[in-house]
Amino acid sequence: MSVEFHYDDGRVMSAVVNGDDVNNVDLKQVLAEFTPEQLEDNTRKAIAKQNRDREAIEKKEAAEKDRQRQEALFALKLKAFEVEAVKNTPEKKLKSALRRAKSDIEVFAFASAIIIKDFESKQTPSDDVTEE
Amino acid sequence: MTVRNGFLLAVSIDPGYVEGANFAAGSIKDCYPDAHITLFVEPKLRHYVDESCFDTIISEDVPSHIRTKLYALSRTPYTEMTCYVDADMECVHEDVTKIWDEVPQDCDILITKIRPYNGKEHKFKIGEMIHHGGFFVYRTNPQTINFMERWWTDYAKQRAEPWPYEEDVIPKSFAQWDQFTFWKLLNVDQLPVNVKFFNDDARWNFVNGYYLTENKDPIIFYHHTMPHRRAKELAETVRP
Repeated sequence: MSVEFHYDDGRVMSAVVNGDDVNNVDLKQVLAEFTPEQLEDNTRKAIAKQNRDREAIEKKEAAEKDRQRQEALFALKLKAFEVEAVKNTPEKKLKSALRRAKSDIEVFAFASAIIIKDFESKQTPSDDVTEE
Repeated sequence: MTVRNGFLLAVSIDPGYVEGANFAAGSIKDCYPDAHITLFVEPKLRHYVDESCFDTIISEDVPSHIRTKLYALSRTPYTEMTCYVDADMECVHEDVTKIWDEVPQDCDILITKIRPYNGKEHKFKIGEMIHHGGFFVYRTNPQTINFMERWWTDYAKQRAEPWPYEEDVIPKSFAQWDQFTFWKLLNVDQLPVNVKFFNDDARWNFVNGYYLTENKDPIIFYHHTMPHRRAKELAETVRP
């Protein structure tokens, strides 16, 4: 049994009391001060509080995880747009797709596609002639 | 040509913010191709602007100031409504096209709420900063334009002049916040503007770190934080 001892000076001490040891002085005190219904009610409240605390922590952790993922992705997109070929591309659809990329892989893929288009547009016909 | 409604961004000091603004404006155009977007940018950063993302670019007389945004607000080119967007935001949903319908007839400024768990100190002895200054829509009417002018001039005073409040009433650390000026104009000076909050406001300005349960419908604007290290690197390479 988990119990909390609240002292007059404000201190609170948590302890685990063996509920089967009828000679335990702490257990005797608990059973003297609380009815079985009160103990049951306190137990329900403690479980509900524990669940609320756990949910709050999970909520915070999920927000932090999402924040980190979003910020890393945003930073990567901004880095991609630093590349002159990307920044100045006339390929509006690819540029838009890059901005809307949902993962690192998509960022790399769309940025690469833009850079390749830029590379190809700068090729002269003579570049395609192979020497024999 | 006059345009009734449009988006306004303002950047200065750091080229990283111009690149952020390019991205933000591009993302708005992706979701709302007919959107009209204006950028205020200080002259020395003009060459970082991606002109394909903006319809109007204003550089003349734009100051190099930590809150160029406040300078720009009263100078909006739009005749009915303006949506101010921070440079580190990203539009991610087509519902942005409905933004002008969100503003009630009797509302001068439509804004989003600060989430206390996700921000810096916002409460003080006699009040609380609850308005998020990074995203809002405002009307081009006399009382609101006057409010925006005062926001700029009073913020500049707030930073330049000795702090007029007792530390335990309003901490001096608030001098850096334009949200505090916003609070003062509403609560101390009681300027006659009607400020309301967006319905489901988190989807309009989902600041990184918000709980994922904050918005009911899909997020429209995601509010990032400009990567500081990168912004600093870029600032060091500003061309003369």
